[in-house]
Amino acid sequence: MLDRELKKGSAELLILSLLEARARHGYEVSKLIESRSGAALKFNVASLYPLLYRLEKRGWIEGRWIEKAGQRRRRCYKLTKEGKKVLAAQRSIWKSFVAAINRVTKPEHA
Amino acid sequence: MPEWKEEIKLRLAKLELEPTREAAIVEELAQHLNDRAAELLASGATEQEAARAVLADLGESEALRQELRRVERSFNHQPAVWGSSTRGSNGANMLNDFRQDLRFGLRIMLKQPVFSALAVLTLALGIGGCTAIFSVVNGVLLQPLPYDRPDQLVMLRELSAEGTPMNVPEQNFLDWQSAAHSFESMAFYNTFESAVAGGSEPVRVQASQVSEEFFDVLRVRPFIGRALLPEDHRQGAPPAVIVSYSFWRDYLGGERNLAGKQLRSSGYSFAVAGVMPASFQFPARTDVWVPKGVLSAVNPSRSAHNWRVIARLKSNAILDRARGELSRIAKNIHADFKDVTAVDATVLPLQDAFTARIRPALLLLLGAVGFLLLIACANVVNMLLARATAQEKEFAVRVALGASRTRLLKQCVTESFVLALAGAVLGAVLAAWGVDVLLALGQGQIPRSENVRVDVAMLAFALALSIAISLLLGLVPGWRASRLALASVMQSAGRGGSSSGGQKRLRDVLVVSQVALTLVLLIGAGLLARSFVKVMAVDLGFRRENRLGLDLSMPFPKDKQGEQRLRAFAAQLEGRLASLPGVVSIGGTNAPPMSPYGGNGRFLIEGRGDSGDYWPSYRIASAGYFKTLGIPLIRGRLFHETDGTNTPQVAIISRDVADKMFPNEDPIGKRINAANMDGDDTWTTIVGVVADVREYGPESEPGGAIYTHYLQRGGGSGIAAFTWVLHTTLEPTSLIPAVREAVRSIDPELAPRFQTLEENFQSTTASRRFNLTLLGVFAGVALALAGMGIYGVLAYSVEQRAREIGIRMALGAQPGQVLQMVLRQGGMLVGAGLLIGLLGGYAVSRSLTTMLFNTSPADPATYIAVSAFLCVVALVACAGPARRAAKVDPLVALRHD
Repeated sequence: MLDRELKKGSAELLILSLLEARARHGYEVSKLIESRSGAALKFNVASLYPLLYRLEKRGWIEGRWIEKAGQRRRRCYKLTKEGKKVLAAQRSIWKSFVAAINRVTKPEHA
Repeated sequence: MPEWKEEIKLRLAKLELEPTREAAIVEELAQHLNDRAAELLASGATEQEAARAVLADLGESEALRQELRRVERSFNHQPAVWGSSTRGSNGANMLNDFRQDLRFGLRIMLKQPVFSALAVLTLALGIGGCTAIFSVVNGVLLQPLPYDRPDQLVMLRELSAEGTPMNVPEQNFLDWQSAAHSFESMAFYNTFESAVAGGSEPVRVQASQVSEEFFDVLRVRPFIGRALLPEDHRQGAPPAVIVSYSFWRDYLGGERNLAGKQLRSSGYSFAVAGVMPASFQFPARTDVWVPKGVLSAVNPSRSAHNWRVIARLKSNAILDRARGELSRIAKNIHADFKDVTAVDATVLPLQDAFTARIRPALLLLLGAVGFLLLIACANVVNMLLARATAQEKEFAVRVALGASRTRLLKQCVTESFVLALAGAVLGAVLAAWGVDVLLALGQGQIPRSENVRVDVAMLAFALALSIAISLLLGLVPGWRASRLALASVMQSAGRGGSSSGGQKRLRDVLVVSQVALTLVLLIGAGLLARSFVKVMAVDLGFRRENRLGLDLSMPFPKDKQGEQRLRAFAAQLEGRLASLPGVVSIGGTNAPPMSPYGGNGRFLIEGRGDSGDYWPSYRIASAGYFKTLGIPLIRGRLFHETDGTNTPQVAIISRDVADKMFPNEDPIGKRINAANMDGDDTWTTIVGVVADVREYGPESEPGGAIYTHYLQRGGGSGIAAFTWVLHTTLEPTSLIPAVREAVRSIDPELAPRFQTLEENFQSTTASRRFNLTLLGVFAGVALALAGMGIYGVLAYSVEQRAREIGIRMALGAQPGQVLQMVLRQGGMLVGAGLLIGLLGGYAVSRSLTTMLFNTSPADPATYIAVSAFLCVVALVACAGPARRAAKVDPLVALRHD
C-alpha cells in the first residue's frame, strides 16, 4: 500500500523536477527517469500519461503541440508558475521526510 | 509494425471520451509508442520483439483505462447513466479499493492479536446483547400476529370504576354481540387445566372453552378433520373437541384418521373432531379446545367476569369508533342493570393486549442494552484513538505522498469494519445463546415467546449494527488522522511524540460518558435490586418452605352420588397421604395462595344484608389446611375432624373480614351466607378468626378471606379442583414418587401435577427476577467496560507523560505526589461522569416507577451505594497506572526519545 502511494507521490516530484529546466515531451520524460535512476524507476504509458494529464489539470504544468520541420508534431510540457511553487514545497517536504527516515533508520549507538 | 493508434483506441473505447480529446490522447500515446519501437529497432531488436516490448510498455489495458478515467472525468461530457459501463467499472474500482483495505484491515488485526481480541470481544458483548434483546422485541412486540389480517383483531375488555380492565360476563358479551356494528365477529374463551385420558397415557393439559365464533374470528381451520360446527356448541350435543398439533402427535400417534378417537375429561367423553395446524397456538399452550356450550349453560350473572373476548373489526371499521360504540353499549348495560360491576368497556389491538404486560420491561431492557453498546463503542473508539496516535506518522507520510483524505478515511472505516464485523459474528453467536438464556430466564413471563428465534432478521440487525458501528469507530480516529499535517507530526515527533490536546479531550469525554452511562445502568439495577430485596422480605402470612402442592383437577360431580364418591375419595386420599413417611400434616383448598384460580365475592350477613363493596376471597378448605400452611388462629377454633356432612355448616373468617364486617363485636357465632360464590345457600356459622394472608403474592396487600369446610360446601366441585398441600420434613420434591403412587393406587386415570409452594412463590416474583437479572448483568458488564476504559486512558496518559513525570521527579517531586497527580486525573474523569450519571439516572429512573416496590425512584441509599461501588471499581482501575507513574525512573524517562 505504501509502495503505490510512495510511487505516486514521488512521481509527481520527479516529473516536476524534470520539467523545471525546460519543456519536454512524454517520451523524453520517461527516458530521463529511467536513465537517471539507473533503471530503478520505470513508468509505463499507463501510469505516465495519466499523471501528466493530472498535473496539467491542476495547473502545475502546461502541454502544447509543437511542430518542427520534417518531424511529426509532439506534445511538450513545461512547468507553470504554480508548478514551480509546488515543486519547491514538495522538495522541502521530501527532504525533511528523508531526513526523518534517516534519523529513524540510522543504527543506534549503544 | 502494428498500428498503435488502433490498439490505443481500442483501449480507450469504453471511456467514451469526447472525440477531440480522445484523438489528442491517441495521437500523443501513439507517438510515444512509435518512438519506443524505433529506438528498440535501432538497438537491434527484431520487429516482433519490439512489438512485444511496446505492448508491455502500454501496460495492462485495464490499468490505462482506470488511470485515465480518474483524470479525464471532467472531460467526459457524456451524461452519466445508471448501469452504464462507465458507472459499472467505477464501482468495480471502489470494490477493488475496498477489497484491498479489507485485506489490509485483516492483516493489521492479526498483527495485534491482543488489541484486536479485546476490541472484538468488547464489540461482541455490545452487539450480542443488543441483538438478543432485539430478537425478543422483534418476535414479541413487532412481528404481526400469525393470523389473516391481524390488524383487524382486537380484544374487548370491561373496565371497573377505577379503570382496571376486567374479563367479561357471558351475559354482557351476548348483549355486545347483538348491539355492536363495528365488528365482523366476536368470540369469548377462557383456559383451565384438565386431566385428559384416552390418548396414549393420561395427561394434564391446558384446555380452552371457546364460544361458537372463536375460530372464525381468527380465521383458522383444522388441518385434519373438521371445524367445530354450531351444533357442537349446543348443550346436550355429542361432545366434540379440537386438539393441538403437538397433542395429536404425542398422544394420538399422529394418525390422520380421527374416526373413533375419544378423549375422556371432566366426566365427558369427547370425539376428536379436528387437529389444528402446528402454527396455531392460541390461547398459548392450549392443547384441547372445547365448545363452551357443552360444559355449561349461559350464566345469567352480569358480574361473573370469566371470559376473555376477542373480535374482528369490520374491514372498514376504525378502532376509535369501535371503542366509542362498545363504550356506549357497556355504559347502557351498566345503567340498565343493578348488579353490573363494569362501568365501561374498551377495545385494544389484540397484539397490544397480549404484550401489554411485558412491553415496558422489554423496552427498558432494549434501552439498557443500547447503553451497553454505547459504552462498548466508547471503549473501542478509545482503543483505536490510542492506536491511531501510534499510526499518526505513517498517515502523515502517506498524506504527504499524495494519499487523499477520503482514501485514508475509507481505510480507517474499513479497518474498523473488519473489527465490527468480527464483533458482529461473535455477537450473533452470543445473541443466539443469549436468546435461549433469555427465554429460559423469562419462562412464562414472555408472551409469544414461540415467535422468538434466531433468524435472518436477527442476523441482519447484527450486521446493520456492525456497519453503523464501524462508521462511528472508523470516522473518529480516521478524521483526526487524516487532518494531520506532515510538518506538525514531524515536529512533534522530534519532541517525543505526544498526542494532541484535542485528542486527549476526546478520550476524556469518552471516559466521562462511559462512567455516566454505567452509573445510569447501575442506578436502574440498584433500584430493582432494592425492590427485589423488599419483595423477598415481605411476610406472606403463611409458610411456603417444605410445602408440596398436589393438583388433581378431577371431573366435577354431576349428581349426589358423584358428590359422595368424590368426598369419599378425598377422605381416602387425605388419609393415605398423611401416613406417608416425612409428612407432618396435610391440608387442601380449592385455591392455595398465589394460584390464579381463587374467586372472591359478596356475602350475606344474617339480619344485615350483603357485604356491599367488600368482596373477600372465598376458599373451601380441609381441616388441616391452616396448620399445614402455618396460618395462625386468632380467635375461636379451626375446623374439627368432627365437622362433616352431617353437622351444621361452619366457616372461618380472616382478621380483615372480622375488622371490616364485625367491628366492635365478636364475629364468633354469627351466621353468613356465601351462595354468591358456590351456589350453596345454606347459612353457615363463623367458628374462628385466622390471620390474613397475601393471596396474590408478596406485592399484593393482605386481604380478607372466608373459608368453608370442604366436606360441607360446594357440592364437591370445590374438591374436584382441590390442591392438597403437604408439609414435610424432607425436601418436598423427594415426596413426589410416593405421592404419585398413592394417587395411582386409588385412581390410575388421574394425572397429578406437583408444584412446591416455593416454586409458586418464585413464579409470582419471576418477572421481577427476570428484569433484575438482565439489568444486573448489563450493568455489571458496563461496569467492567467502564473500568477498562478508565484504565486504558490513564495508562496511556502515564505512558505519554513519562517524560514530563521524569522531569518532575528529577526536579524533586515525590512518588506520592506523582501518584496523587494521576489519581487526581482519574478522579476528575470519574467525578464528572458520576455527576452526569446521577442526573441522568434520576431522569431515567422515573420510567422505572411501575417496576419498583416500596422504593422511590430517587432512593438516596441506592444512589449512594451504586456511586460508591462505581468509585471503588474506578479506584482499582486507576491504581495500576498511578503506581506505574510513581515508579517512573527519571533517568530512563528522560533518555527515552
